[in-house]
Amino acid sequence: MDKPLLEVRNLKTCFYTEDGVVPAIEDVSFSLGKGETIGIVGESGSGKSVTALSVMRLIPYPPGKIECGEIIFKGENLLAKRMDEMRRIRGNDIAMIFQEPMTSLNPVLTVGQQIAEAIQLHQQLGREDARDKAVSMLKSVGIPSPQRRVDDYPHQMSGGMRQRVMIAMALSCNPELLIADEPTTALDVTVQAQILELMMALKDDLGASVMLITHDLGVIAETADRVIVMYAGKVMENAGVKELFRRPAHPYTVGLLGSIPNLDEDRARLQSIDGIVPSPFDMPKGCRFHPRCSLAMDICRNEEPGFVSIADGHDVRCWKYA
Amino acid sequence: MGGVDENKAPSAGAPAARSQIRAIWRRLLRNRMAVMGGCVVLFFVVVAVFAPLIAPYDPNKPNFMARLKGPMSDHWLGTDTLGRDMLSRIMYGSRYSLLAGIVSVTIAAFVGTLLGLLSGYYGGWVDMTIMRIMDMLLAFPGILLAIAIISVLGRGLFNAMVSVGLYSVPSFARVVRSRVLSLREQEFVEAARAIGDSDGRILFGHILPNIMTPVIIMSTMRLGTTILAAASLSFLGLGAQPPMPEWGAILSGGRDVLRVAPHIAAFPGLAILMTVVGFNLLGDGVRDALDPKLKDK
Repeated sequence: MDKPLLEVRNLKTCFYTEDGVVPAIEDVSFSLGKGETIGIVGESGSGKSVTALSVMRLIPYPPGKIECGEIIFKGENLLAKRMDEMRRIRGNDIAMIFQEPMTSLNPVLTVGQQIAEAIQLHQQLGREDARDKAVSMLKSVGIPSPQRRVDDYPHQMSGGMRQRVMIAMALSCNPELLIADEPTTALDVTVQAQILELMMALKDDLGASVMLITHDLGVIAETADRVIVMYAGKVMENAGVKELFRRPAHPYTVGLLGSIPNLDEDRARLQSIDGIVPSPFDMPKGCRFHPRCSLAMDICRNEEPGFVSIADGHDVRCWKYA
Repeated sequence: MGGVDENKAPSAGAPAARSQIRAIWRRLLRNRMAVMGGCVVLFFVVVAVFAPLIAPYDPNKPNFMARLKGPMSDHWLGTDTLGRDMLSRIMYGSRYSLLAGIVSVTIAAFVGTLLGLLSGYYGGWVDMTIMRIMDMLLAFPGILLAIAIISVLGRGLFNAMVSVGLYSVPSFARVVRSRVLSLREQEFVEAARAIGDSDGRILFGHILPNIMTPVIIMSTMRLGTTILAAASLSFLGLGAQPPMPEWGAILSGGRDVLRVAPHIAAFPGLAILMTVVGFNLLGDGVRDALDPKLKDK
């Protein structure tokens, strides 16, 4: 494999609250090759979004702060960049799609203006050219009669169409990395599939890499090449997508996969993982998952496990394999 | 109707949707009180614009043969202590009073919006400093503050406009700040940052268009108050100076002869009353027409 496009090493992001310093993510490492799609899965509060925002350096400061680690993008450490350098990277080299298409577009600007803004920020294009580009972007994301729709306001569009607009905006400057933070969560299922398909098709056209954040393992199975499973701010398992679904190693991953309803089986109840994600103020000692783990051993309660490689490109943070 | 149009003009420049403007316009026209207010405002605007053409006399030319005359056929609204035609004076006076209202609201809206934007967006010590200063200004009764400012700037109509404008700044700043506080947490602000927008672009390109509605509403509603305040200052002798036919000043001139010639104080007072009520009705109508909660789907 040649040099990865993005390499995150030992990333730690903390939030300084009145009740103390809370590490939202700790020791997060992964790498993403060119054209690759990495899926980040986990429950709410597991640190998926914080990871994404950290890569963009969009963690609001205060209260948030990236404490340590490295984010190497195209061979350069983003954490060492000045803010104006970051602004040139954002939207141009790294673009982001947000969860809520209803609120991530400015209600008082036309969609055309918003797409054109991204284009004008990063490319030396005049107003007219930027508008033409916006129209062609709208066309490429499958919006009918883009000539007319370019002057629409967000409220004149459906959720699915707005998410298409967000994708158009994100891809308008041909980014090399696209971060999608639960891009389909707020959409209904049939639209979800269309949006995912569209995103992946455009990504292939552009040769971009994608960091896909979701809690939907079905989405991961269809789109990702690699998966990292996060729990309580830490990466628990990191594997290729086929490997992960075939041989899930971490008890948490096993639980997640087990909780997907299967149409072939006739089960009255869904399987679930008991308990909830621990509060970052009150992290359990030892392995963070042990209070909910059915296989917990004594060592799990006292010492935190490190990564164990159980196969080529398959790492897991669990004492079971140590 | 065009009078309403006068005051709707800013929203055309604002990024409110062009298609929406028609809907807002329709809602405004359906509001009878607002139309009435708008007509009154329009009436005074027309009078102000065409005063030199329609005024029967020179407003400043005394006629000592016809002093303190009550309303009659030659002088519809009578004459003042120097025999000047009251109708002409009030017609010319509408120019000064409307101008005073517009200038002071513009000052207040401009400064207040800017301070509110900075305060709400940056928070921290910027917010602390700006808002504590606003609190200090708010602690004074409005007109007293205006008098204090005039005592620094010196008397005169323009200084009265500035001082009335300055004392209206805090109300704009507070409204804008509170809107910015909720807007800056919106996802589209984060999305704007994610495409590489700078703070300035986010503030003026994304947040400002979103607060134009409350600013337009505030401005319309505030016009009546500022006209009244400017007239009060002139009445106290701090604003327009004689012989300028500003309404407050005319009213002040009628004070001494209130029992002999009550019309000298009454007519400018009536003009002030009508304009203020007109702007207030129109302001309410504009608010109802723009308020998203009342928007028909």
